[in-house]
Amino acid sequence: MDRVQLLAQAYSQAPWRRQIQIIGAFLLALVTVWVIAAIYLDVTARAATIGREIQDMQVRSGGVLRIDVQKDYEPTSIEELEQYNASLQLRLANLTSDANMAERAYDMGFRPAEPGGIVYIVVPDYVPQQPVTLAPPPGPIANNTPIITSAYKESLVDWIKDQLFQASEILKGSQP
Amino acid sequence: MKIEHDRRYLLLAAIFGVVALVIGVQLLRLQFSPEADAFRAQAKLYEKELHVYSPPRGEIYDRWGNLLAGNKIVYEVGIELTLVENPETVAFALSKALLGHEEYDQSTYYSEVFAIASLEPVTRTYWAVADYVTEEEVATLKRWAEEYQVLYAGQTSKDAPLPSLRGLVYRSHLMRSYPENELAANIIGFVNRKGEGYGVEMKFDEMMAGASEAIWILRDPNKAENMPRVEQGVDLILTIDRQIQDTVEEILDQAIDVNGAEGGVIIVLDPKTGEIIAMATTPRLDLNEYWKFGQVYPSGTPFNPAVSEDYEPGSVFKVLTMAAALDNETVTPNTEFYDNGVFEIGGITIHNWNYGAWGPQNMQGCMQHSLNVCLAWIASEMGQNDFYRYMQAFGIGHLTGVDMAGEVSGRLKIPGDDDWFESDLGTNAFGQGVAVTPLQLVSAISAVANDGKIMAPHVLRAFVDRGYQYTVPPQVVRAPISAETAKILSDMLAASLEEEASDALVEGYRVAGKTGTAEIPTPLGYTSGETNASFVGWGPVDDPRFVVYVWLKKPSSSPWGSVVAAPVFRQVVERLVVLMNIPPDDIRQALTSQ
Repeated sequence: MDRVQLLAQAYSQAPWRRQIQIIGAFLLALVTVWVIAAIYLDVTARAATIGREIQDMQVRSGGVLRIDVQKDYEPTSIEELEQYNASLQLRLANLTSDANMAERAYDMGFRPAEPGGIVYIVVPDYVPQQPVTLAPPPGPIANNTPIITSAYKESLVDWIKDQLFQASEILKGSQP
Repeated sequence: MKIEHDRRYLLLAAIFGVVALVIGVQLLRLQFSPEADAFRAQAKLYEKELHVYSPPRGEIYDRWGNLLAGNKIVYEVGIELTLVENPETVAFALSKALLGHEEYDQSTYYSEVFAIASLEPVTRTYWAVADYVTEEEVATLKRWAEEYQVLYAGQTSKDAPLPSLRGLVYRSHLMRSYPENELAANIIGFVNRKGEGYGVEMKFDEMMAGASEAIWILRDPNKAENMPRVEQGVDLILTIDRQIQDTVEEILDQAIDVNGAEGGVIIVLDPKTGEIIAMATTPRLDLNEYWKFGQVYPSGTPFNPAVSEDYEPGSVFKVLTMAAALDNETVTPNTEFYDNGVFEIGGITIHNWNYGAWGPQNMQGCMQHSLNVCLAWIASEMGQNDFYRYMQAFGIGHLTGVDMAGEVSGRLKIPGDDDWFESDLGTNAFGQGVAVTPLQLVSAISAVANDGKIMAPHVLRAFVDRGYQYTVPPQVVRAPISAETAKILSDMLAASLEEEASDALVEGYRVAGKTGTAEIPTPLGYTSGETNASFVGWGPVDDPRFVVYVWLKKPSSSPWGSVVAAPVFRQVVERLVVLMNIPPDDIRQALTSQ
């Protein structure tokens, strides 16, 4: 009994210990909150940055470019890249147009072949030129999978919920 | 000392507390203040933006994958009123940069732009002031904007704003462009901004345009979502061979020039598939300047005479009459006919082209000398029912269903029609009193080159939709005559050309064909003295790879098809056999037998 009293007295006689415990607990809570807040902020900021990048890839924000600011046109969004691709394809077609190719061939000394000037020979397994195929023939229909996966959209809480749901489904015996 | 510290702490805590309280109160006040709704509305305004996504229009290729119709970037130029510093400079620069545009090269354009640039941004901040501005014009505006910035850097003015192009903005979109300019313009066609047009562009407009979709894009980056899948425009692959088309157009232009013709048509068709390999017509429009349509095609001029203009074909039509009679067994190649130069039917007298009598003839002679009297006799022997049944089976008077806009059906009067008379049987037999389009005729005659079968004529070879290529299979439309009849007639017409030493003959290749010289009717009858000269032929006779149809309108050098159209056929075939890799008959037969 005396020993218990002695111990109680010893602790009660040292109030700074109690203060340190309170301050320590407070600081621990504070640091915990700060760490969680920092992680949350980091994740949110990164998600927002990636979200913005995705949006910029989809369409140009604001939709217009300023004549006095944007000196060089750089396609950024999917739509602009599609336009740019189409434009490059057209430029290539202009360079290889029938008139241009004929002129270049003529400049290089080529002349149209005459029927009498052609020698025909048998080439085994020769496959004559076939009309163009720009895409494969129709096949099985591809799955309509979302382009942006859930990893880029869900929050930490969503992820935890999802994991818990999947775990519970596994425990129930059903497939996730 | 400790009390002093406590007071300071308390004071600091009180200050923070008051600040927090003020913030809290202000937040609450804003939530319930009269302006709260306005703030919420403003927030909603910036929450998302509407974006109209227009997928690129489908492209058009020739059979080898050469681009015939594509898209290029052009710009819409607008004014962002919140940024404008000097409306005068903006209006001046824009009106000067766009001098090349007919619609903006007007005295009022400067004042219109100035008025817009001077507006206050009250209800809206963006105004579009020009469209279809080229890359070069935008580059010019950028260069001027930079020059103004350099020139007036660091300067200020109290009286008037310094020159600046601030506020001028642009956004890109696509515009149709044709890298081959006039080449195959009559086939490709165009669609104007009102949605009207011609050719395959018009025929397949809905497929190629894709579906524009208005999409709300949320500005909150945490709410980035998948873009909805917008239906892309379908790409078309045509049956046209770019090089053959170019060659045929060149030959046609030369022929018109040399023969002083008013216009012309040349069609090259694959009789085994119905694929149109080339189709040259005049006049032709540079599709990149489709707005000059009215200048190129004066009122009433068809855009593509090959499918949109019908005319009396004349003697080339005799091929169909003879095919019907042989198939119907009314005549055989050896049937004898004594030509005394006249034949009476339905109260009219039919003469030959030279008003002469050609004496005893077999059927080959009738075709070789193009005897109207003989063919009218054949039709009368067949009888009206059989004759018109065959003509309808050949598709005369019916649309071919070709996949180009603006096709007309021509006219075949048949017994029972108010304006049909018995004499029509005699005149129709040699191509008078019947109206056909060039494509209709070449399609009908292709049966003779394809074992009696007519394939559906078409220019669409395949289309690419959602990543897959769908090929259009050749389709048999009808088989008006038997394969045996087709072979007999083909040989008969080849022999006719050979015996006649026709200008249509091509060295090394056996071809069959028939000339046509059709007087052009006027309201008073066949009195104009003007003709339509034509020739239809195919080859090689033992394995036809092409049917070529030539039509020259009102040639002035000579009225006869044998003089003006037959040599054009030869020129076309001499190029075709090279471009289509067709060896001369003897080499081909030797190679085949190996």
